[in-house]
Amino acid sequence: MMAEYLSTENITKMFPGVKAVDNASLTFNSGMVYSIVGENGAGKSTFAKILSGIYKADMGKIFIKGKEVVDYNATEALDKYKIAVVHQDETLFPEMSVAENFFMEVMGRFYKKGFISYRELKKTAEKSLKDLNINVDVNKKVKYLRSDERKMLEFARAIYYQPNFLILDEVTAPLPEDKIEAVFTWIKELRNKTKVVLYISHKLREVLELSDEIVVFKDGKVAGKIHGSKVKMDDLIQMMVGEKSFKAIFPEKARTIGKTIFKVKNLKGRGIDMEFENREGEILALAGLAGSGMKEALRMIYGVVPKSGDFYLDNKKIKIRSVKDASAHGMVYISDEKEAEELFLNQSVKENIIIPSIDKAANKLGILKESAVDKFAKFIVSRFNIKTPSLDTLTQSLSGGNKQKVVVGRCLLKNIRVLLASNPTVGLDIASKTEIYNILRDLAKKGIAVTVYLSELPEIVNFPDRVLIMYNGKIVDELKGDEITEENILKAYFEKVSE
Amino acid sequence: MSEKLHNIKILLSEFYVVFLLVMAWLFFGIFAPGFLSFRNIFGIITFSVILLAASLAQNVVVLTGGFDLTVGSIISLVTCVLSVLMVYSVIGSIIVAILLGVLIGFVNGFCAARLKIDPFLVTLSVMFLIDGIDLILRPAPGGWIDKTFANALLLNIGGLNVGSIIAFLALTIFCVVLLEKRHFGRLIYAVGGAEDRAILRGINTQKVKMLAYVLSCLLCTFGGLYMAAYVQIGDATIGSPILFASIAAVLLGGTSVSGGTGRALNTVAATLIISSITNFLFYIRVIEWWKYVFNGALLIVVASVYYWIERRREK
Amino acid sequence: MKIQTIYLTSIGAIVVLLIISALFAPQFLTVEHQSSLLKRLSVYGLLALGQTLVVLVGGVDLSIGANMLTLAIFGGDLFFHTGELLLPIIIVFVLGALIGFINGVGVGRFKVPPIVMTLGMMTLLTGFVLVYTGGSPVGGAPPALVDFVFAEVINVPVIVIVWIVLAMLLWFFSRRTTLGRKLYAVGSNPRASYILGIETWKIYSIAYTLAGVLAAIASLIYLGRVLTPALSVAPAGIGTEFLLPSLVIPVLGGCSFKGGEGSIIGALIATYLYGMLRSFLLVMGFGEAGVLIFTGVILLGVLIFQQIRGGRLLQFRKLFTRK
Repeated sequence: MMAEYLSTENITKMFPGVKAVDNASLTFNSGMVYSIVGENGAGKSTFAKILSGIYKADMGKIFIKGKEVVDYNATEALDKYKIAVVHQDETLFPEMSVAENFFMEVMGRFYKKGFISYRELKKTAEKSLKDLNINVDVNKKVKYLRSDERKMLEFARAIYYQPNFLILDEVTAPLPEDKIEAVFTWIKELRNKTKVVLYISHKLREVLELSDEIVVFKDGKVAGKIHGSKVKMDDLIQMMVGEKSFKAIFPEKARTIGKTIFKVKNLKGRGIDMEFENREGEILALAGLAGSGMKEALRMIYGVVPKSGDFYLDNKKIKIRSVKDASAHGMVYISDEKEAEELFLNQSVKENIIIPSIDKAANKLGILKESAVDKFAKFIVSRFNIKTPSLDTLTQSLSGGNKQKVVVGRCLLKNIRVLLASNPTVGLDIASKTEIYNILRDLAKKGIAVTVYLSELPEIVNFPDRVLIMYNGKIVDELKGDEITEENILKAYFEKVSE
Repeated sequence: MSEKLHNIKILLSEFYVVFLLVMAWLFFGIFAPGFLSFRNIFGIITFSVILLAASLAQNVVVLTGGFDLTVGSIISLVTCVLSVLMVYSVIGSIIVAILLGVLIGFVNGFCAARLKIDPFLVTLSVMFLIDGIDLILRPAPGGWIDKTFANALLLNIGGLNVGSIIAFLALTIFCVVLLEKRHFGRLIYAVGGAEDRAILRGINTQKVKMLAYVLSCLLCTFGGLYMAAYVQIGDATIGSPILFASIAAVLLGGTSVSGGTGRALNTVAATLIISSITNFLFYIRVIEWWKYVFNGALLIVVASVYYWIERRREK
Repeated sequence: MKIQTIYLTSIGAIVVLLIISALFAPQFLTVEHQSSLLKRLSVYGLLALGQTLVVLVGGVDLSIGANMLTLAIFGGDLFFHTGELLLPIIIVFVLGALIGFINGVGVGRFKVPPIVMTLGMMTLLTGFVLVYTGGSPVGGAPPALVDFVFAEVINVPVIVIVWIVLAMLLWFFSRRTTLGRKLYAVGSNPRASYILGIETWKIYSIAYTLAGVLAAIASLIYLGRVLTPALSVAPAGIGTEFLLPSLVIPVLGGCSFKGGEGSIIGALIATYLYGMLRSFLLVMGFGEAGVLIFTGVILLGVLIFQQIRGGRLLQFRKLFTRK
């Protein structure tokens, strides 16, 4: 059935200084899966938020089943027009229970004699979750759930409202492979039930697998529409970015690996038990199913989380009892929550760049030389192509990719020996990803021990020189050089763990 | 059987402040014979009505992640307005007082929720404003409050202010039901806990917060009516101690100052604890100033509890 | 960029007030009046500087007024009983710093929300003062101190010079030293500061301790001016008449309770603006009530203006939470 469900005509949305969505005219037919791809800032999420009622378009029209609809909010989108959305950012309330989170917008429906019937609430939530094979205790506070459980909960919520139009924005990021398969099954089911699914993702492999039609956004405009079956990965990338090949995104792997720089032994705590070493010129990656401890391990080594272990830098034993120790030894940790843990959003770009290495621009008394600060900041901005109107611009106005470039690039100012990074390119567009990869590769070449936690398969295959697969806090497999293939990685994820 | 025990454990940990209250009363009862008499406990509850109104009001606003420094000033304002206008019309003056309360709540809510100005600073400014207006209305304490009105509110039966007890219970039941069993109440928790997420869900967070501020001011207006009934005059400064005590009650009751968590019943218990302390200190004839030392120490204790909670959370 | 707007607004407001004074209250513009105004402001100005430092680091110091008054009373009593000059001064400084340091440790090390910690400190100080004095005023200021406080250099009051010089030093500290930049960083994002290796509890301690030291200096000046400190107890505690201006002035000067936003210079200008405004209102015949109403209206006006212009979201949750 090819009946049109929703279409847009010249939808435009502007934010101060930028056209986030520029004259987007698209048609979505029932029973199809659409994907939207494009770089960060290309307008995908904004477009999704307009469709789902969170933003109001500045210009243009939206038609649902042929009739024009005007100015609806998110609740109306869900109720009246059956448009549900699972956002990229989490929308669950951590201090409230699963059941309450399920129905927060519509709790009024559960009134019995004027009071909310929690029994009804919990029963309904339980049933919905069971129907989708999700195993969560409805009484638990959401903050106690794992990130993949929370994402599945958001799914269940969206599906409960029996949407005709389901928007999924970068939803597979926190999910392990088996859950991703489950999601794909639901998407296909929805398609069979003649619903519309709008799948926004950076993961081109998934996009190619799922989509009937792929829409490419570039700079807020619709840059192209292609049939899913007719396109190849390389063509897609070219439409998005201008790069010819996937391989061009990643820098060359290391040709020579030197001696050991950083060694970790007997790292124990919180279910983790592992050891590894990082050699000169080598980029080491930790990978595995969500919850296996990769991120934990890095945070433990850096001293954020208490642990026990022996650490050796250049074959000399060092003590890392706290973040202060780690920092003093020349260690740097790049968190995947840059807004919360790495950036000073209401400070200038210059400030964000210089703060970690501020002692370098000062004399022995601690008095700063402003010219030195400027010099250092200018250097980093130009070296890493950070797009900012000026050094004094507040960091909060930078795009995601440029923010991350600030976080990673400023490491160059410090005398670092070890760099630990947790998903350093998560959520970034391809151009920014490439730049980050190049930065990290440069650092590795300079003799800095680079250990990263990666979760995206293409990254794991193409970026590091050696991969350690983890499960349940322990290393279960090691792949190096040509052994690093998608097949082997997935095998390690699913087969090796049962050994 | 262990299911039941488990449930009791959960209830105890959620409402630990009630438990604290019971312990406090037992403690006081040992050191001050006569403390646990029916008359005295009754007196404490009667005495706490006004503070309860203010504390519950503060609790609602703090739950949304905000703050209301106007709670005390509104109580003073109500006494001043009534003391001036009641000579003309009893009902009329009450209506004016209520309308003023709603207006102030609206101003607070508009600036804090819609204009997104720091609630602490908004309510600080409005507090200055109200204090100034109070001084103009009542440069010195005085005026006239209708006795029928006062008697109706207090409902003195056999020497006991039954009306106050009814008010106390009414306030408690109203707030507990609102916050726990009504959609609006749950929305307050949601908005207070994670406002940006609530926005993504399509919840009108500004409306929820605005209503919270209006509700707070209405509760304070109610408290102000009782204050007027008690002291039978208008006084521009009578509400100031109540602001401080309402903050203490909310903090002691475990409501998180960043919003999103905190049970109304705990606030009620905390209010009673604070009133009981004052009563106890009076009972054992402690000089007024030691109250400050006591309160200061109490706050330090609360601080230590915070530290302990923080440490446990980090593990 | 935003800070410049605040400077312009504050300076603009001052100019407007000066013009109106010229028309309606010319006695305002005399050197005598301005001099006495500045002398009176020096105490409030020092407290405002201390509060600004604490607000910059993302906190608040509700005990600063009580701190100052406690030191004035205790110091005054020491002067009176020992007859010494230098010793009590040293003790006052040490105590002021200690009180500030305790606040800083509570907030930085024990992660007590600033409002709770400093409120508790204020209550404790109130209690001790009341017990110590028994409710009646004590102490006195030594002649040397009084002379100093009332001294002038080429017609400029010494204490005003002290105040301005301290402000300049603090400005330099906050803008041109590594510690100062870290102050802003911790105020902006304590979590990120920690991850980047900054010892946040040290920074908190420094900010609160400095506030305590500034309170100590203010207490000596206050003592010199009034000879015997007045004891008025508000429900929350003592010193609230000094605390409230110290909260209002940083906001007028462009500080955000969010942390990491604002400047010492802004606070300095705002102190003068605040003083001018109050003085102006009193001269014009407005009583205490009028001053309160005006302060409320102006403050609210400034806040609304800031929001419409800057469009920033003041989150005071940072005052209450420790991440």
